[in-house]
Amino acid sequence: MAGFDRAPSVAAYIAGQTGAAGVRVAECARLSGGAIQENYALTLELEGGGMPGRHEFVVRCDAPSTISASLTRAQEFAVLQAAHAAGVAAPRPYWLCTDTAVAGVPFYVMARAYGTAAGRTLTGGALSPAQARALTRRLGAELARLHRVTPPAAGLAFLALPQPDPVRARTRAYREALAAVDAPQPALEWALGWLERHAPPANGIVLAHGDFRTGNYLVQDGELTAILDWEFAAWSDPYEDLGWFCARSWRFAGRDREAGGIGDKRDLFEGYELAGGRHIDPRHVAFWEVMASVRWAVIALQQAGRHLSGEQRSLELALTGRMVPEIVYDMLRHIEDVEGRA
Amino acid sequence: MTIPQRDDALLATARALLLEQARQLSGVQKYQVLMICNAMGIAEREQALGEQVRHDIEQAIGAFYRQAGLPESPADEDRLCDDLRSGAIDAAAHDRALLALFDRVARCRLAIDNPRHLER
Repeated sequence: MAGFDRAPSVAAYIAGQTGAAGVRVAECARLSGGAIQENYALTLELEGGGMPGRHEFVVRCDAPSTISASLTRAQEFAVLQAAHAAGVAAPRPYWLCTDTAVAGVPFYVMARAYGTAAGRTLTGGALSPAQARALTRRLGAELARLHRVTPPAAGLAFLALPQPDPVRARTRAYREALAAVDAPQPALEWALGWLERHAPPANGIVLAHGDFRTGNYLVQDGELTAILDWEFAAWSDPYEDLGWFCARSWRFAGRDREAGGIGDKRDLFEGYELAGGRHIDPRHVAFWEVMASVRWAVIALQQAGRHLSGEQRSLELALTGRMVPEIVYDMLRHIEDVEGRA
Repeated sequence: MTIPQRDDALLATARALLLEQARQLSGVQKYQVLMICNAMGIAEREQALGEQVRHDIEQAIGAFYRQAGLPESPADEDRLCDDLRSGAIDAAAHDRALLALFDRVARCRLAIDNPRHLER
């Protein structure tokens, strides 16, 4: 859908879905972000049918660069439906179209949400202390709502259960990924062993967002408007999302604010618990923060590998690979803190 | 005037000019120019420090093996990986020493890839 040249065809598809007698494209533009998917803002004026009037949609389809671990558009749509039905602030999903005659690739349509997702902006003083605190609690509450979805769940049979448990499923996957990387990474090998030796008891399996972090939600006027980027959703330990959110790598300009560079862990956990989530053990979150570092380092190495192998020459991918030493350095500092507290 | 054969400041000078240009830009263009500046900075530091960093990492790994009572050679990251995977190094017994080693190695690499990270 390069340059959104398929906008008229997608508009006609939406008109068909709503039973509209006519449709006019009022706006179409590519939205920023999304290395794996392309997002287009599409504003339509629908005549008649079940949704007459002006509607602001986002059309999401595959980009040229995909990651094997991510969901297909059809799977992502099913996750979005499950999250939305659970009361999570996910963009409202409308239609999934797998007929490639319409846009060249499968796509789905969801409601457009407004705001900024930019990590450096949100953590760099864009929020007042009161807004930051309320947002932190709200994000905790959103996660608690999502984590109420447990297997088996209608429409999510394609999500595999982590075997034998989330910790060992993840360490096995990352070990395999490291074995496939050209440059040796002894610190990460050691960290995988550390994780296996320090694994907390299992905490049950829930629907996890898989990339729940600052940068993947929208904020407008200090308030959350939508949680985005559901392509890494998976059945997992509920602490995996909490650890990923709190990991040092995702705090941007707010390095001392442990909850996503936005606020305090205490507020995040309180928000989670007050919304009906389980009681949070901070030690488990700290454990999953180590896992988060390993995961992010593995992703960075894979991205650099795509550049180095010539598969996709890209300065951005090359520089992501150069972030591995700082991810490892932060991970080591965090392990020191965890061990110091033990 | 004699033209110098080697200009160690060439990359740094070009990078400084590019950084100056980036101030006039915004959005995607600014982001891309800053990425280029970052890459030039890494290349410059790699040229200046690369050999020393590789030597320091090898020395640190050798010192670890010596301390652990294992053969010192080869002192490289491939062997360290293999030994950790195979269990030839008892990681639990050497957790402290390994953490100190990886900290040293990460600092060495950061000196090239992102020295500012060490100041944070």
